[in-house]
Amino acid sequence: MTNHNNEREVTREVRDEIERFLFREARLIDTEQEREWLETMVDAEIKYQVFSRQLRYRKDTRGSGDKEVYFFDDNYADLDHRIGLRETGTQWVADPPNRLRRIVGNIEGFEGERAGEYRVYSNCMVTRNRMVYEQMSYAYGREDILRRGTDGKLRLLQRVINFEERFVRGKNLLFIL
Amino acid sequence: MLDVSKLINTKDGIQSRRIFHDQAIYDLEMERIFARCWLFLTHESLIPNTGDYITTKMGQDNVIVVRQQNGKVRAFVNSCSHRGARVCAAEAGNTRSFVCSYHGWAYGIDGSLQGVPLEKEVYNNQLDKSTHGLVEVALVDNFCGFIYGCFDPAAPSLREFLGEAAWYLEAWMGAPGGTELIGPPSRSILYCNWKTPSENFIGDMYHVGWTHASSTQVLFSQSPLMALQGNASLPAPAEVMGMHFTSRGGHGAAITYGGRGGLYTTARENEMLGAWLAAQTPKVAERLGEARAKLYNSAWDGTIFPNNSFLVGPNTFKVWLPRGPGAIEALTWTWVEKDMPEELKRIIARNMNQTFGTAGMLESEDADNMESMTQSNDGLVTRRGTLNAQMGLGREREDAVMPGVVSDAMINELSHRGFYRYYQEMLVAESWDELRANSSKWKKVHLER
Ligand code: FES
Ligand SMILES: [Fe+2]
Repeated sequence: MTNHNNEREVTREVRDEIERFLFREARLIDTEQEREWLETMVDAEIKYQVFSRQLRYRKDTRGSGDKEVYFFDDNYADLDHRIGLRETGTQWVADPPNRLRRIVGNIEGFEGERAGEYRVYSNCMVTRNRMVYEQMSYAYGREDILRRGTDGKLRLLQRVINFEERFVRGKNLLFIL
Repeated sequence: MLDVSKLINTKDGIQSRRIFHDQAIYDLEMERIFARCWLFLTHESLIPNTGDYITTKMGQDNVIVVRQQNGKVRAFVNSCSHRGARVCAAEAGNTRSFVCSYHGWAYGIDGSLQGVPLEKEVYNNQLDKSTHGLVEVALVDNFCGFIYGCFDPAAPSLREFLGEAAWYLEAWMGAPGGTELIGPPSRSILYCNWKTPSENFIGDMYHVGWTHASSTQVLFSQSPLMALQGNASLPAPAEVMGMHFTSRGGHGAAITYGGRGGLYTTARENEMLGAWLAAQTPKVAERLGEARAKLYNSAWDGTIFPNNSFLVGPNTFKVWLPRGPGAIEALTWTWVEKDMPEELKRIIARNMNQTFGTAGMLESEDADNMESMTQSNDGLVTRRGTLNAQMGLGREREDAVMPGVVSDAMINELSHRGFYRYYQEMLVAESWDELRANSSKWKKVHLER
């Protein structure tokens, strides 16, 4: 993550708005209202990426090929497909339902590169309960861009997550991060 | 006493449930299978230059795979000859040496011990460095650029180990311009026995319509696989839709004719892949013949014995690393053809990760089955029972063109039966000679009713 000390912080008013946005988003996703999230909080031009970086020695800058693998590299249609799986009624992995609970913190907001855009950082702790016995937890940082639409509302335009747990002990990441 | 010769009944397609549970069976698998078979390590494309290396596991042994000065690839156990600490903590990179983090012994990329800190002062120059190199993996070879290693110097060559499966694998691994893996892999844990994903990938087309009912409906609307959705009916007889094969060494696959394309959600992406396949097909036919040109255009799910699985279509390439009888580490790469346009490679990788990566929509659906079919056998009474892989029994045959034993239906369990046939043979056999003695008559158990 880059150092953003030189960036212009958003006003207290906008900061409150950003925080309300992230909290509402967390509640919708955690309560199986991802469709509502997608339709009311996500920009049609969304770029949603979660990647994992291969561990190499600090001094080792040579070496060939890609250093990252993208778990998510989704656009709006892709997110729509993911959410659509449960709506088919035959997504057995979500039946009985998964239960998600997340805490969003360390929120920082800065003016974005373009007017009406904000660069937002946050950290997330998620616990996912599955079936009777499974409990997994995930911790990660998010770098978001929120954009104010013509209706005056904020929407998620970009989310990039460097998922730092190289060996994923929570089995899979089949939820909105 | 463990009588491994009673675990599998190939003729009737029955397996003991204990193979997914017992520690004693697992320990024997490590000794007889993982310490003797060829195991997937990496791909030529991921370590192209001198000093390029990756770290992985063979069974539960940590190994480093590194390209030498002379261009050859060698592999070494990743454990220091002094007190046994790890000599490489990175997953991949490029280096001139591996230096142990405990006391600083330094090894060359050829595994030889090169440097010992304070050698004169603390060892009085009495340490024989020449006998303290890293333990080397006995055999390393590649098939179409896919690199495998084997701990057993007495093992057959990789080509012999693949046997009849090599003929099939060439249809995609040996694409006209060659294949490559897109790295790095994703890595995640699953609480299942290593054989449950191996058998799922080796030929379970039966589960596609049911386990993946929601994803086939949402994602595969432009694919022939869409017809499987809900396991309600088949659009054509299963024998028209595809086939199964099994081979001497337990490798096998289910093949769905014409199913390689059309798996993407956008028409543009499907057209792009379709155009690529159409352009390559005549070249494949010329090099490998019409039968394999047909396979090149098919969707496959297959496993190279024991723990290396792949899909053609979604272009997944996986290895299931055992972590005891009830857990595995799943490593997942995307495979592509080397001379594909960069954009097409990116499309394939993106779609592969969306379906079979760590956040993959189909991957997670499979995982629940693999875990529950493992964990149910924690029950003593449950694991006294057996499992059924009888689908397609009596329909096996030999073919004039296609080697091994084949069956004309892609919804089938022939390749499961072949996998467990060889699995049991490996557990029972003391030596490769004992295994070779069965090689002239291995087909009988599948063909004779
Ligand atoms: S254990 Fe490696 S240098 Fe001592
Ligand atoms: Fe599956």
